Amino acid sequence: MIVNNLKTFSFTLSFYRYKEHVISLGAIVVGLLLLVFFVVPQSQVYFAQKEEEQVLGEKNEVLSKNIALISSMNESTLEHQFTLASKAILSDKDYASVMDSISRAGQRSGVSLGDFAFTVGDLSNRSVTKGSDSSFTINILVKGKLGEIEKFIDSLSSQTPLVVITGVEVSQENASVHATFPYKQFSLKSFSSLDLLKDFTAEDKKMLSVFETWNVGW
Amino acid sequence: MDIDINLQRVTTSRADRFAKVIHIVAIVLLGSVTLLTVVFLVLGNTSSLSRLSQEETDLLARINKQNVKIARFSFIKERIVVGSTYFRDRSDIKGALAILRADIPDGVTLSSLSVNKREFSMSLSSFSGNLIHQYVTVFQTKTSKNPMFQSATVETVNFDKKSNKYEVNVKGVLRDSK
Repeated sequence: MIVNNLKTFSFTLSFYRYKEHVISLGAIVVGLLLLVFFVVPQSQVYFAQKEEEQVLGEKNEVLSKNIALISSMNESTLEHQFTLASKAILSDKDYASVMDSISRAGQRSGVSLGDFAFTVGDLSNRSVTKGSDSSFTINILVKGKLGEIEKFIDSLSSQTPLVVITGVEVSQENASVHATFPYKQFSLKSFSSLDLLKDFTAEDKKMLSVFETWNVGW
Repeated sequence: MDIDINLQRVTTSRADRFAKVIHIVAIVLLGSVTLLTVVFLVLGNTSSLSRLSQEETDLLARINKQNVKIARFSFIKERIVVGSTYFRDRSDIKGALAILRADIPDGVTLSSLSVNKREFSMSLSSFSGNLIHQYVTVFQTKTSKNPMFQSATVETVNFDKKSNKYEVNVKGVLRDSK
């Protein structure tokens, strides 16, 4: 009993002797706990918020710029350019447009058109992956003088839709013209109003004016 | 003299320093925690997130009204990219054809001609060896001077006794214009 009392007394005495130390250490522990469980999470929330603000700010900036750009565009000009671009590059294996183009070139050049040899693969496979660009080749048999064949190639190359003449084989007055027609399906997925739209560059405008020249005579 | 008999407790300077240090650390730590808490609370309250969210909603509403125009613009841009790629890839086959068939003298017949993006070949025939020679000379001069042609070779010159005709075959490589 006496020993226990002595121990309690001794502890009490020690506490009062080191009271200041104990309070300071306690304050340090409380401070550290607050730091770990309150200040650090609070700071994490703050920095996450800041990051979100930055992302949102950038997104709003893109949206604002896109709105400004689109608003500055003349609707009828855009409509005209849209028509030009649609005619210039095929959206799929549009044989009707191709045959029409070949016929027009034939009429302009004076050649007689033979059979069109389509080497486009499976005709039933009309659907292509949206957004991907592809092409199909046609071997066009024409009959005419060399000058007329030249004119045919020139006419075909300078009208819509875009064609790449990859080869010509001439024998007497018969020629086989290898023409490749590129096409690309438009995918709505390929554009987003959240992507920064860039105005037409000088190169783009040059290409548009080429489309314009091809369109003459339609 | 034994220090234990003093009424006032004399502490060692080491213990004193320790007490001071932890006291200062405690004050600095608590002060910092309080300050940081206040700072983050203030900064958190001054956040522009709600304003930006509202702005985003407004902008999206505005841009949604322009979706058709944006789709058209994107479509045009996409077509321009495809057009430019293939347009650049086009080689001047018509030009090569024109050069090759030019200067063929009367009396020389172009039997066949083949031109693709990389090479060409042609064969000509004539009853006159002189005319063939004349053409070959002109052909060599013009292909060596024209940058469109990388090389041109007269492959064969034949004489067919049956038809009494001379035939010449020429081949060459076109320069990549890209």
